Amino acid sequence: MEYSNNLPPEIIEIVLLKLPVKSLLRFKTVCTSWNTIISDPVFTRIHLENSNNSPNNNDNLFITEKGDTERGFSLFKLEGGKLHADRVSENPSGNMVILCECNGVLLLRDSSGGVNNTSNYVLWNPSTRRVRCFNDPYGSTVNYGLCYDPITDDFKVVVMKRSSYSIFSCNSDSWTEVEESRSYDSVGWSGVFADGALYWLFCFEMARFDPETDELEALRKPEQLGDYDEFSLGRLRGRLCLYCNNTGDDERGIRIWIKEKNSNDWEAFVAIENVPTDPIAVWIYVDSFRIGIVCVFQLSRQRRLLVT
Amino acid sequence: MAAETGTPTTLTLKSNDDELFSVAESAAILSVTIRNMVEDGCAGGVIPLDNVDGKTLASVITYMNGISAIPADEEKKKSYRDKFLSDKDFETLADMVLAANYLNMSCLMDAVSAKIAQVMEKKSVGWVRRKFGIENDYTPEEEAAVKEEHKWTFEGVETDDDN
Repeated sequence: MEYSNNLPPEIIEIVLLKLPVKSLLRFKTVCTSWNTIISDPVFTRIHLENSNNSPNNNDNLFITEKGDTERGFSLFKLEGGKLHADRVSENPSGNMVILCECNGVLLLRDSSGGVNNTSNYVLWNPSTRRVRCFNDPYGSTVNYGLCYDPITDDFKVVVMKRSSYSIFSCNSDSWTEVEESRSYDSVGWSGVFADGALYWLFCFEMARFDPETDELEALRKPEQLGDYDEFSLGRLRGRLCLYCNNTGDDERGIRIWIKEKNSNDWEAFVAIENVPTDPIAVWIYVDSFRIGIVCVFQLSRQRRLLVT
Repeated sequence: MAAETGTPTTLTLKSNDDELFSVAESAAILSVTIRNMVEDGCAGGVIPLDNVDGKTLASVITYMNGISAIPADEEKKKSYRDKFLSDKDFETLADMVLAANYLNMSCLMDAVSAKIAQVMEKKSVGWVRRKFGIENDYTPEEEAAVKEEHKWTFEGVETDDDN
């Protein structure tokens, strides 16, 4: 049956904003006006913001699969407290490892090793399958980060060295090096993009990089954390979270803090007592109504803790 | 106003095909459009809703009554909305999204537009053109070029013989 009561453009746009990227790219073929709506950068930005703010946004995990014959990436979705692997079959060629993620875009590095001490990097958007390649002329860097500047609509790659950092801007297609007055101990972890900024963890310190000003500043830890408590950074509902996994015999547990949105203060979020054994990895996720924590105790065994 | 005496007020809504519906004011004011009319004192007699037909209005009123009977529990409200929309076909959903927009009911608007997106998600371009009444204004060359650019998005599309 033909449908005669045509929907006005503003309602079509509301519906299109709720579609996944794959459907949107296909529906560019529907007609020129749909192509125009879907290709509009403002539409793209609202679509991204909606996805980031959706209660179903689990901060999906990407994991590099190691295989002898082929390498691919799997997107793990946490739904209803279970891990679902959604294999992305087409990935950029080469021996790629995932360094970090920002707004659904992954920063990959060719791990096969360059002959002249330069690394090949790839920015890859698995939702649109767009790829952008570039070189790091500095080589042998340890800490990476990927962030997005909404003012200039620019993705920036930041590589940290001991007393300086370099920024690659996708818009200008060039690197800028910035000297840093204090030095940080690189430990090889990638930055976490949350709340519009990029956060790094160095041995027992943290730093925040602002993609709008390109400035790096030290970030305080929650007061309750001791000087030598080990902790990790993650993202929870788009906000920076910090979790500490106590391994002491008398107080084994996981404590989580969330950084306040517009200040550098930490809010104690949850503390879980009596975690049975030491998890080797902890993932925190949220679905519509509860917050869950997946603790991996052994690779073959995962246990879920639910906090409603 | 009757609210002062404690008795529930009932409003009469009239669809554009002249059907009359009685609905509790407390449920009807989920619609900001109706709420504004009530607050402006224009709801004394019959409220004419010129952009909604009887079939759609009956459905919207079922939703108003159903959702307002649920206490403030977002999880239960969500599962009611899911169930309410689960058996609706595309044409009904399109009528409802227009009605929700006209009546300014954001929760229904959100739920129905998300349901339409869910129905469309795996459909073909041809299905979308038919259901939305859209004419293909590409030249064959342009269409082929746009399609070629996003070829992989045409994998896993459902066949068109269903709704």
